[in-house]
Amino acid sequence: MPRWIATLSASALLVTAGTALSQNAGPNDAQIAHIAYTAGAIDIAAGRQALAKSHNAVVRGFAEEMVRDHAAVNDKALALVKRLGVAPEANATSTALSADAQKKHDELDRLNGAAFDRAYIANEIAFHRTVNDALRGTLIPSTRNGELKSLLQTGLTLFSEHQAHAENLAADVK
Amino acid sequence: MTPFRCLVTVLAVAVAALPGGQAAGKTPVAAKIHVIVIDAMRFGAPPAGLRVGDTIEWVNRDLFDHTATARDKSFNVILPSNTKRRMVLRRAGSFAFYCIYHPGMRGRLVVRQ
Repeated sequence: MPRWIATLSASALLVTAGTALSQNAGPNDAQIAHIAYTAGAIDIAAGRQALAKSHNAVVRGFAEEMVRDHAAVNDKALALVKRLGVAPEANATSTALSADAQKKHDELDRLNGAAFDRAYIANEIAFHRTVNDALRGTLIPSTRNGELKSLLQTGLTLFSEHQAHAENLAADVK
Repeated sequence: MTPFRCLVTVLAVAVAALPGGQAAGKTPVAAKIHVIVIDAMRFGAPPAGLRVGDTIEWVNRDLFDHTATARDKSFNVILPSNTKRRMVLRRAGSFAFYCIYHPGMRGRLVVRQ
């Protein structure tokens, strides 16, 4: 398994062998864009799920923030890759992210009330931590294009805020 | 600080020019407009020399919605992405502020009489 995939993989993000990516090289910009976009889309979906299920005003406010912020980053990323003529390229990591997110979505769907709120916020903390570690350790250092790198750096600052916000909320939804 | 990051907090634009460009001892100081730019998840550096009666123009050039909210609740300016809002400084003091959505974004306004 390439080191960069391993870096991304919390146990939930483990991918199997057989990746189409080079075993030695880090991800290229098209793959990085796909991973970042996928991560954003996952959190938007999670936010929408929370808005559909939660009645807790604080949790709903947080979910609205996630939907709004991640949509803004993803819109910007889409416009950027279009302008650069880069087609985001699906890869083992983004596929693993999506598969794991679907499992988590189904798991959360079976919960209601305070149990859902707690599980949603706990997952937001874990998810942002994993994505932030990957951005910091692998994705940003591997990015070649300056504009994409800059957008990912802004994303890292934003997602770190989200992680801190979710960590603060965790005490409120106990 | 790179130009890219520049949250350059800029200017203090004199609304009315003072005679000879100098403030004489007893001449009332003209109110000024101070611009604070928000970009890339940061507030620009707080302007120096703020006085009661001056105006702060908050300019959100960021991709994200933000707020400029005083810790003491004396102001709460909602700043959707790519908007600007003005507020007049009504009293002297030191006002810590932050963004409600992203509490790591912080600053402080120091306002003199």
